[in-house]
Parts: sequence; structure tokens; C-alpha cells
Amino acid sequence: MSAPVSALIQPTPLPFFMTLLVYFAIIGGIGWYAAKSTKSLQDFFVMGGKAGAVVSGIAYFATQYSMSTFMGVPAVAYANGYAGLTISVPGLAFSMIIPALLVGRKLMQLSHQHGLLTMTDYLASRYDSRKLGILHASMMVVFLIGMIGAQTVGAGVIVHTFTGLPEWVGVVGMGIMVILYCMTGGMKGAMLTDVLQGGLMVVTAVVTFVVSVQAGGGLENINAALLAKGEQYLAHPGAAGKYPWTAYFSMIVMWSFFTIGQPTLFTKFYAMRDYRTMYKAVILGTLGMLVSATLIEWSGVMGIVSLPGLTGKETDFIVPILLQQNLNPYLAAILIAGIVSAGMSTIDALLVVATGGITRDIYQHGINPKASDEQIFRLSRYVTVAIGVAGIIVGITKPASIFELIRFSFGGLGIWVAPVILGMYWKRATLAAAFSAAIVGQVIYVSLALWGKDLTMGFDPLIISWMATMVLMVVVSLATQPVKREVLNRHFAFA
Amino acid sequence: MHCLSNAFERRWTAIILALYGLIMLPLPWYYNESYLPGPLGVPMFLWGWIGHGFVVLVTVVIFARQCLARPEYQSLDASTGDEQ
Repeated sequence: MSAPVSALIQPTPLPFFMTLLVYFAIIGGIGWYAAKSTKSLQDFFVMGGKAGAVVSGIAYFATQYSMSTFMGVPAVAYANGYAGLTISVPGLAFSMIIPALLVGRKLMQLSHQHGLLTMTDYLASRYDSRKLGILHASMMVVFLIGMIGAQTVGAGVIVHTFTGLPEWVGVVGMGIMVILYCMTGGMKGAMLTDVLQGGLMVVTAVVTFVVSVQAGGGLENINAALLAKGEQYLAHPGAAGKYPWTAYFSMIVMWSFFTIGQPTLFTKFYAMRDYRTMYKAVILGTLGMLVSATLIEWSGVMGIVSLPGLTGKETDFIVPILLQQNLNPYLAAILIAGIVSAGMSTIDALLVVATGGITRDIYQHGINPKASDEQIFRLSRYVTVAIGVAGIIVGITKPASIFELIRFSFGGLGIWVAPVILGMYWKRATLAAAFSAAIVGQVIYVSLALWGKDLTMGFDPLIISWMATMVLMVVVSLATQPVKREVLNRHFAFA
Repeated sequence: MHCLSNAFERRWTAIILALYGLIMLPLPWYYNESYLPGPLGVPMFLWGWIGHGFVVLVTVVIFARQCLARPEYQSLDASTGDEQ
């Protein structure tokens, strides 16, 4: 690790390990309790469709907000100034209501009446094709592993900051912990631990904000210092010039509308027991996100003044170092547990969904249709381990910063928004169109994201790719056979 | 049911999407290429985002209360109230 990170960190391993030990013991206890009451495949994947409002709301924002929110975006804000907050703050209030408004209610009805458990189930059912389901599950697992990897990267940074141990120790440690409680408790374990983790995340965000304001000498002083450093820290497109209006627009749309393509979102809606639960969850989750994400990401801007000099991937260290330098080691460790929570609560949901993709959608529906639910349930535990290990490998190799990893993987999943939205609102959307949109869209997205960012006119590659998939889906749908009438009747009975 | 099912759903969809579209506009209190200081020297666009966020939250609360007072929201199996 190059200076100045190595010069800034002051390892305090004893308080760090003691605090995390207690925290993990509590999390492990919840996983054990959940395992005792997880008896069926439906329990494992969607908590039996019985999640209440508090569990659903907190679980939603705990899943949505991850290491990226607590470390990745503050790092971007540190590098860009206030314009870096463009990533999530302007769109925060829409991140739950837009998916709920456009797809949530219909998903709840479909799940309730037809027993759908995953996003893949929805696609396979709407387009009457298990092959489409298998394609979705295969693509999904690849990008979910990328997202899991990004979360473990954050754990590596934290462990290095607080103990001086190599980053891979944190990556592996976090990976093993989440694998253990996910393979035992499934979605129930994941959602119940989300409640504890979500609460801790809010506390962490508030305290980190207060600490960062104090460390910089108050908000007015900090902003005056930023102005002296350069107006670009207080205006768009930011100090690094990365947030012009096109990026501003992209970020708002990405973390709200394109959330519709995230398989974890489907699972959360399927798990809600009624509309009252959904609305309470939307309100509670939105409030939690508005408070926690705004404050923690704002802390990254404050760090420019109190901890100057971090560059490149080192900026990921800004929040852990802010806490370490300004708080008692035990208190800092508790708050760091809040950040670890953010990563763990996201990984657990990703792991459960990715496990379902392989065991049910690829294996049970594609390779071995005779497999019983009991066999799938057993297989799920091994698959969870395998996916977790793949995520750990991504975390150890750390191919990009936390935020860039999340952004790339999120976009890969977002491509499926066209088949979902058109499938839900347009009876004429066909299977051939869904296949072509997914395959062509994915090729365009990956090509633009990796090699063609200059061709997107400043918009995120996902926006351009999605527009192409929408046009493609409409054209191909009009030229091909619609799905069977009885399938459409089943899906449009509510509309 | 979905966001275009009936007049009630369409009206609320229009309101929420209008708020969604509004924040995407490059208005000075949402997006600004010059420093426009607000209270405590914080750029005005951040206060604009926070204020807009709470307006959206209040709107969602009102929307939710009106939805939950309607018969089609009492059960997942209930009639959808759709216009045919």
C-alpha cells in the first residue's frame, strides 16, 4: 500500500476484533434461529411470503445500500466534491417508489396467485419459456458475483485499516461469515439480519457525518476551505469533471428505474405479505435511505478538508480512516460494524438470489426437472458456498474500485428491464424479442462499458443499451408470434 | 393492478413521474456549474435535492393512504378496480 494511506492508518486490532466478535455472534445467532424455522423452499427463497413492513422496509434499504454507499460513493465524493453526491442523493427518494409503482404491485399479485419465487420465474412464466429463464439465471449469476466481490473489497479495506493485516484477510473473513448464515437461514436469515444491520447503518451514517463535520471545523469552515481549494469542489461537474448533466441524469435513472432489473428487488416484493406492508416498507425504506445515504456520502466531501491527499483506489479508505482518527477505538469498531453490515446485508440477498438462479432455474428447470424440492434445498447450501467463494476471489483480485465494480454489475442486470417492463405492460411482447433484447443488449452494454464510454455522449452505457433493447424488442415483437393466449390471460388478468 | 389501471392510478402515476422528471432538469437548485451557496455555505443544489426528497416522501405517504383506503388494496386476491 502506498503513502499516504499507510501513513494515516493506526491499527487497533484488539478493540476491532473484540467488537466484531460480539457482532458476528449476534448475527450468527439470528442465522441459527432462522435456520430452525426455515422448512421449505419457499421459506428459503422468499421467507414464505410473510415478511412484515418493518422487516421488508429495512431489508430493502439494507440490501439496496451497500459497501458502495458507505465507502464507494464517499470515495467518489472525496475525489469530486459535492458533485460526487450526484450519484445517489438526487434520486434517493425515488429508489423504492418507482419500482413499487411500475412493477411492485403486479409482482406481489403474481407471486401470491402463481407461486413465483424469483425474477427468473417471472420471465419464464410471462414468456412461457424455461430457456429464457435459464438465460436470465446464467447472466444474472455472473453479475451477482461481481456485486458480491465489490462488497468483500470493502471488508478488505476495513480490516487493513483497523488491524494492519492484508486486505485479503478481510475479504475472506467476511465472505465466510455471510456464506455461513445464508446457507443455513436463506431469505429469512438474510432479512432478519438486515433489520439489525439496517439499524446500525443509520447510526453509523449519522455519527460519521457528525464526526466528519467536527473534524473539518464545522460546515461553514469546510465549505470555505473547499472554495479556497477551487470552485469545482462546490459545483458540477465536480473536481474531476465526471458529473456533467448527462451523468446527473444517468445516476438518477439508474438507481431508481433500473432497480427494476435487479433480481433482489423481485424477491423483496415477493416476500411482502400485502399492500399495506409494501407501502409501509416503501415509506420506511425511503426515509432510511434519505437519511443514511445522504449523511454518509456527504462525509466523503468533508474528508477532503480534514484528510487531504488520498488518490485513486486509496479514496475507498476515507470513511474508515475518518472514524478511526476521530473516535475511541471501541466506538469506531462498532460503527465499522455498521459499514460491514451494509456489505453483508447486500451479499446475503445476492447470495440467496444467485443460489436460486443456479439450483432452481438452471438445475431443476433445465438440467434435472425430476429433482425434488428437498434435493434442491440441500443443493442450495453447496451452491451458496461456491458462489460465495467466487465472490471472494473477485474481492481478492480487486479489478476496480468498489463503486466501479457495483456500477458495472448493476448495469449488466439492468439490461433485463426491457423484457420486464414490456412484458408487464404490452401483451404483444414476444419470446423472440425478449431473447434478442437480452443477448444483444448485454453485448452492447458490456462493449460500451469496457471499451466504448466515449460513444455514450456522457450518459451511462446502461441508458444507451437499454434504449437499444427497447427499440429491438418492439421491432422483433411486431415481427414474431406472441406468446399463447392462456399465458397472457394469466399475466394480464390483473390489468 | 398497475400504474395505468384506472383514473386514480393514472393520476398518481402522473404526479410521481412529474416529480421524478422535475429533479432531472438542470435547474440551478438541482444542478449547477457555478457555486451557488446556500445555508452554511453548502451548495444550493444539495439543499434542493434534500428538500425535493422530503416532498416526494410526503407525496408517497399521501398516495399510500389513499391507496389503502380503496377496496382493491385490501387483499392481494381482491378485485383490481381496473377499467375495462
